[in-house]
Amino acid sequence: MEKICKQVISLKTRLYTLCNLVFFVTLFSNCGDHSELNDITVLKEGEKSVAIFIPTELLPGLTNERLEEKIFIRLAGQPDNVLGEYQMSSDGVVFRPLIELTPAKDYQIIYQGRLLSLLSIPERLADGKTSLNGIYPVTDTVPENLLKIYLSFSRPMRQGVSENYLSILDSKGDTLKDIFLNLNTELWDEEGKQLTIWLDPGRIKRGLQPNERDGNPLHTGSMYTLVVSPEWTDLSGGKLEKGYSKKFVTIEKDIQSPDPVNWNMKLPKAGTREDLSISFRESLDHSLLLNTITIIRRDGESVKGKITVKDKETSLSFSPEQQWTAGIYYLKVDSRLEDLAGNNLNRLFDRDLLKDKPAGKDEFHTRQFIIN
Amino acid sequence: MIQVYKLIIFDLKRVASPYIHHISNTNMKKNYFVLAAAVTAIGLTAAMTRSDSALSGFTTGTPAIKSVSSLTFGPEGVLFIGDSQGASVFAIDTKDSKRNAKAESSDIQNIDQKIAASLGTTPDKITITDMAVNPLSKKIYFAVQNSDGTPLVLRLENGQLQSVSLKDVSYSSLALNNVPAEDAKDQRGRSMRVAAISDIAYADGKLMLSGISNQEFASTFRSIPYPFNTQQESSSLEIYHAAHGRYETNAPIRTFTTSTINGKNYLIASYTCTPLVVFALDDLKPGTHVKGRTVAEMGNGNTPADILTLNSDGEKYLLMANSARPAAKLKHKDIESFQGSLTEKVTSTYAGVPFEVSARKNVTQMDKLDDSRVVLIQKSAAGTTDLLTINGKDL
Repeated sequence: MEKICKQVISLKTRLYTLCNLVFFVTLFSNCGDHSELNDITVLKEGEKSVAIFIPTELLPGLTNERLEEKIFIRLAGQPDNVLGEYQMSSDGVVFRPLIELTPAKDYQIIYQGRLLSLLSIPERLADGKTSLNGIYPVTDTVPENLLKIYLSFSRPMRQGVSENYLSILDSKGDTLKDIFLNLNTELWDEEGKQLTIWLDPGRIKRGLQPNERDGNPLHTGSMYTLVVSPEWTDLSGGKLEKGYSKKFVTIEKDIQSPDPVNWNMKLPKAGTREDLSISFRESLDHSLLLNTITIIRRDGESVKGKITVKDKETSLSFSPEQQWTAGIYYLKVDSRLEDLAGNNLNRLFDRDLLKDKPAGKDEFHTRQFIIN
Repeated sequence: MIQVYKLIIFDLKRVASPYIHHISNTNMKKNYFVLAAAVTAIGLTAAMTRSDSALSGFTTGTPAIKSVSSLTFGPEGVLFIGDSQGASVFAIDTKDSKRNAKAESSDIQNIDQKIAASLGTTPDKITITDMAVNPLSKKIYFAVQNSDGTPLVLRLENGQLQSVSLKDVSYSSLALNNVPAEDAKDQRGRSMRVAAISDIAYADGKLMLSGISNQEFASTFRSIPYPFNTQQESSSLEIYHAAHGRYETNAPIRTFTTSTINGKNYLIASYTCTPLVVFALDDLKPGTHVKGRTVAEMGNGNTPADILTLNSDGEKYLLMANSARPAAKLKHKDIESFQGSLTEKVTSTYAGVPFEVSARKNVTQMDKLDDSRVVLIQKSAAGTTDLLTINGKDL
């Protein structure tokens, strides 16, 4: 590290003037030896190895034309040249590949058909601090027709590879096969930290061939373990700080839609900022709970406040920003709100057209309450 | 201490200066100048014509692309990029618009290794998220995501991969979720927000996009006029899933294409359990909830990868690549003549429009090279990931 530090310090002044490419080196430590640079050097951006500097001394006769046809960078053992941009100055050539140079890999630098150097990129030691902060539902008792699971990580994770690192084991420790829905695009939130995983709906819906052939993914009265491998890496390549697991048991199918009429409400007193508490009598979808419920005043204005999901998703509290005033209020629930089996306020997830009642059409379900 | 310095790189724009700086007063040079001016004028006119059509509203810069989930081509070499992470679509001017009447076949064993090596890494560090053939130049474009999330587009040219730069390019874009709140729900109050893009396609001045929600088991369909303006029309789609004899609302579309059936334009979509569903494009109106007509039940336990229409030797047929089951081929005339809808419980694995099952399995990407040939990425029995060009009839 000390060596690289010295080299970059030296580069700082010399690469400012590189052809159309200006490097600014911001120092976070005191490493100030301005020794001359006359060797091939890996340039870094934070932890990433992002470019290679080759000094002019090693490139006799080089002119600033079609550099990509004279200097090749190759992953050792591969015939294809690494794609990237070349920039030349009187000091030398900087090659910036399209993606960072891969840690623990060797690269060949070839000039005019001759191997100039073999460059080893050191292994990157991750800080091991990326963690799985939450597995939702939090409850350890779920219906047999559980539809989805959310995984919430502390940092953005590598995408498109969840099937390699995620599994559900039965009570014997055997991995359940083909239980997750394989979408070509994984469902991550905007930050890339929360992943939505569907248990294969084809196996949950009655009468579908996967359901008839393989049965429901989960069975009533059984114990399962959701396992997240510690090998799953974040975007910087660091593995999770440890493996995670969550045991849960299954109870019978949930074939009823949630209904706000049946919820218990503990009302605050007027003139206070006490929480409004709502108990659902069952666990509901954690993610939807956070954005489908609003409190409305009689004049139609919504009450500003914060929702906190509690008690294994069976209740929530609403903390108002201002004191409650006495009067009539409405609990307004978006009909999209689902229970753990994907039944929303308007329809069952697995609805029998011949037996079940028709799907409701109300966009919202409202319930009046009075604060005194 | 690991992090001791930080390197920030600014790539300054080149200053273009290859223009004539000296004008002589000789007649010959005057003539050259007049000629040059005329050529320039013609060039400018051509550029403006192109700008007026396919490149309207384009600006030069570096689009904020967070992920490259889907690729498809529009007119004049415009590449559409579906960005799931950024919930946006981008139109990039590839300047790759020279027509190639004789498309060469491309067959590369271990294409994943070649792509990885071209990026200086190993196949386990990359994901090929999509593949599209430029219908003009016939060059194959790959969407690749590095393990650190870096989105990339590469192009195969004469057997070698090239970078399709996403920096300092001419482009336009549209955010998918900035629709007004009242339009963000369908008639049934379902959210029309898009969390992920499952497929995109371009036809008749419109970019079509199937989106998936990350909270509900739902699929929305956007029809976006191109060149982009503020308009985007959303519909939610419902299908009757024959295999279980009841409506299956909102199942996510995996892949789709458009085609003409009996003179009318249809969306032909494939779902996670591979029913093939047709929707009349005229029925897909903003904020509506549309029921599709299931025309074929192609077996469950499947993950349809790509679907397209070929028109070879006067016969039009539909190809569906599957990443788990064998690929399938349906004659278009059978789809046209199938006027029914699979509304009864189907007990056999397959139902509806008859189709041929291919011996070719594990096809993860497929696109049309010309009227008779397709390019595909297939995982072989030996475990390699290969790029192949085959006659569609041989699929």
